[in-house]
Amino acid sequence: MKNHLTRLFVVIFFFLLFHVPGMTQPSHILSTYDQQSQWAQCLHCHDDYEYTEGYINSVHGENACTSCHKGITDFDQHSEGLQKPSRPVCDKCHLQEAKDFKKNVHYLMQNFSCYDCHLDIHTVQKLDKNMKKKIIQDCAACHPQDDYVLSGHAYAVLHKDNMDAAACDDCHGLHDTRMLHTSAEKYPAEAREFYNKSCKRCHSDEEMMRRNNLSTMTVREYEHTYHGKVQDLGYPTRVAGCADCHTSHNILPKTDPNSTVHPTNLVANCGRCHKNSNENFVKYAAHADYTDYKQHPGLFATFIAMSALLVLVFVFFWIHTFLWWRKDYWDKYKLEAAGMVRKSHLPVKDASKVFQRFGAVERVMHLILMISFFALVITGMPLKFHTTSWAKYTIALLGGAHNAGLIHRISAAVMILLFLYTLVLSLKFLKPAGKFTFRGIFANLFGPDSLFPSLKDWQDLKGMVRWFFDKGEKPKFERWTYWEKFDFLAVFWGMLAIGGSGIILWAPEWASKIFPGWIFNVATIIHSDEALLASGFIFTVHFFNTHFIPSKFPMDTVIFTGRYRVEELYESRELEYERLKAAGQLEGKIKKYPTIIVSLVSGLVGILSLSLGLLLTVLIIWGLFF
Amino acid sequence: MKYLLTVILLWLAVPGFAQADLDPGWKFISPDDLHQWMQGARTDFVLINTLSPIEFRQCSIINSVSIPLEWIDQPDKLPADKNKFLVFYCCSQRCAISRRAADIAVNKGYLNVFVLEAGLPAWKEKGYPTVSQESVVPLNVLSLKPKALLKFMKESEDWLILDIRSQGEYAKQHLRNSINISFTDLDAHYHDLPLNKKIIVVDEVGHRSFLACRFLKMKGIQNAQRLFGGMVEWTETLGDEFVETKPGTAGE
Repeated sequence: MKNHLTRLFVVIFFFLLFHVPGMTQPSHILSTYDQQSQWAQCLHCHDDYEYTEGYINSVHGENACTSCHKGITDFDQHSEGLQKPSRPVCDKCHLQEAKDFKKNVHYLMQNFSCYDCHLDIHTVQKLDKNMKKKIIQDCAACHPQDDYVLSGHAYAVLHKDNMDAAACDDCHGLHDTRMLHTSAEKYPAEAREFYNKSCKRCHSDEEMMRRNNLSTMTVREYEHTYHGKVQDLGYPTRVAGCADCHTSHNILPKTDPNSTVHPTNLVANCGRCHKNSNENFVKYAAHADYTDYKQHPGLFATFIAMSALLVLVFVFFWIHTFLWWRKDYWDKYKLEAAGMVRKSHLPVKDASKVFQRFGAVERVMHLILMISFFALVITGMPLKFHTTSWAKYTIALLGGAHNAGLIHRISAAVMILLFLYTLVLSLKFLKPAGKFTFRGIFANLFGPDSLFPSLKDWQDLKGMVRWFFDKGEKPKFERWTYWEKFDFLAVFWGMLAIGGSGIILWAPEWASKIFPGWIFNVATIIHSDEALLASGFIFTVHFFNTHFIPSKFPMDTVIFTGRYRVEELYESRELEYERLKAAGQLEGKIKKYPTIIVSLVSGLVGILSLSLGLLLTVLIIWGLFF
Repeated sequence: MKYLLTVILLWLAVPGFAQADLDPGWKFISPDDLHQWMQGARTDFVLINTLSPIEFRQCSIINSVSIPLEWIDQPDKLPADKNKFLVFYCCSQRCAISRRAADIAVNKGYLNVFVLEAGLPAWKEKGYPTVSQESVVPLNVLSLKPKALLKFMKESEDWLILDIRSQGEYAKQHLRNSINISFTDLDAHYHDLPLNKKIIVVDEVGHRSFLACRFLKMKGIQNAQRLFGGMVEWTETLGDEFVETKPGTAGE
């Protein structure tokens, strides 16, 4: 039994020794004896250098002639020219290359085979170090030196031995040179995206850039620009990619007078897309690092100022909102815990009357503002947070960056018109009823119906803070509270900042007739940060102050219905109630309760808007922190 | 109001007219569908390569026949049965040549005319079988971009521009002092070319001149070079410079 087992093991051992893959020679490599005898036969006739020494020293030297030249079965017939070998196929061994080559433009369009590029197939050597040079030289056999390798990356490879510089294959692929090459024909978008990625692959490699004394920030800075963001969203055809400014071959540094990005050539270079490009226009920094205060002091100052503004506004109002919520919730809880109902200070007959707070014009204006604001946020935020997946999804949903841009501009125009109308209304409001005097204007400006801040607002703020900490009564308000005035006046500042920068970015060629080009960089920062401020403020502070405060939760529809109970007027704006009552104007503002349609629509619009706003807040937070 | 109504009606009607105008009488067929036909889904069709004989021999779809565009009008080239399914293909994604061939077939009264969508490259990209009857030997062919060629033409007289497009296309617009031998006729007429001059081969978009140059080089005309991007690239880069246009000349 033991003998049998030993024998079995011996058999298995020898079986494995000769049959495990890799332990035996591949079938196409002949034993030295076979190879030499067969080779000698072929060399009788094929005795050129490339088949003799050249071949035996090549990388394929271990293979027999018939490894590639198959189909010769009768030596005599072959020597008489009657039997020809079939076309050599390389894909038996070079599987991946053969697979890649099926997508190669040279194969698809010109029916290239392997030896159309590997012309020296019989003497081909292994090229570890000089691979890049060889590739460039082989490609340049057809693609002329002047157009492709005279300068730039290829020159650095060939003449400076810089193996970091790109050879043809680094951008175009080697065996899988893409069809994109003929980009004008069918693949303009794919080609741009493909080649941008090629540039970015090396130029975002910090170690490689440092080694070559190049900026490590180039790609990141580009991605902060409008060009870079739209590219990243996946719509590369309408904005400049790398090659649009820097050209694709023979790329030169900007210090070279022949470079497209040399200062003397910039007007023409930018002018290829921006038709009215001029000296002023090209002062735009296409790769601006706004944190670099030495190189871009203006941008740095803008960046700091905008950041400070955002931090100040948010810190102040979020604290204000939190304290308010705390106080309101605690009070409400105490009442509920004690089983009490808030008692009305007015007789029931008066309290249940319906007061007209907003007229039809004001309500429509607010609705238009809301819709245009949402449209601007939905179409603008994807650009700001272009790296997120929701940005790409949103833009695709809108039918591309071009459509999003169109909607953004239409909404902006609507909002600007609304703003101008508000200005007209404001001026009308300031105009004195009787004779035109400055005193009359001042009286209106600081009157009870004005939205302009006054000393009372400061006192109200202090009063509110005292009330937040249970140190005093809640202040009594007139028609407009200080936070409502802030909401209103912030729009004036916002329209100047975001509207002004938006218009500059909308028509940069025209703007360049007045401003230097770096104003576009400034405008980009302002527009982007101000957008964050506006949407963040509306979706958190305004939403809370007006809707989510416990006494009004989940929402206050007065801006849509225009009406609320006199009770509410008294509770929230006692001074206005007293003033109207004393002047006998209250009765004139008493209306019927809103109809069921108005009430229903108001509720729906309110809920939808609040939900949308909260959703957008989540997306913005996602974009900011993840 | 009436005016507005008219405009709206016109606007609604335009796509209808446009549709009628645009319908060429033939249809595109995808490589997948054609492959299905070949697998036996349809037997009564003829697959026609509309390129030159040289290109046909270099690489063609299996079981296809060669009828260059210029010869389609000749009698007895297309099958007699007008109900026969005809599928034309050429080498470009735009299918310019096969579409022209299909137009001619439709005009001749063929009822079932198809053009292979995106042509031979798309067929190859799918990995479907092709055949090479006679391959032109591998040789490098230098390309000249329009600006380089213009400079070269201004500096020297040792060149001859050979336009390998069809006679019709050549008649419409061609480079000054160029001669015309269509790719289809090159096989028969290449020996008319001088050996002491640089031959610069010009085609429509630069896809065909490469093989034409290789063919010329194989035949001993070593000085053959090609214009990168063909006439399209030339006019896009240099506009009308060195271009002779004959307006109103009947094309194909």
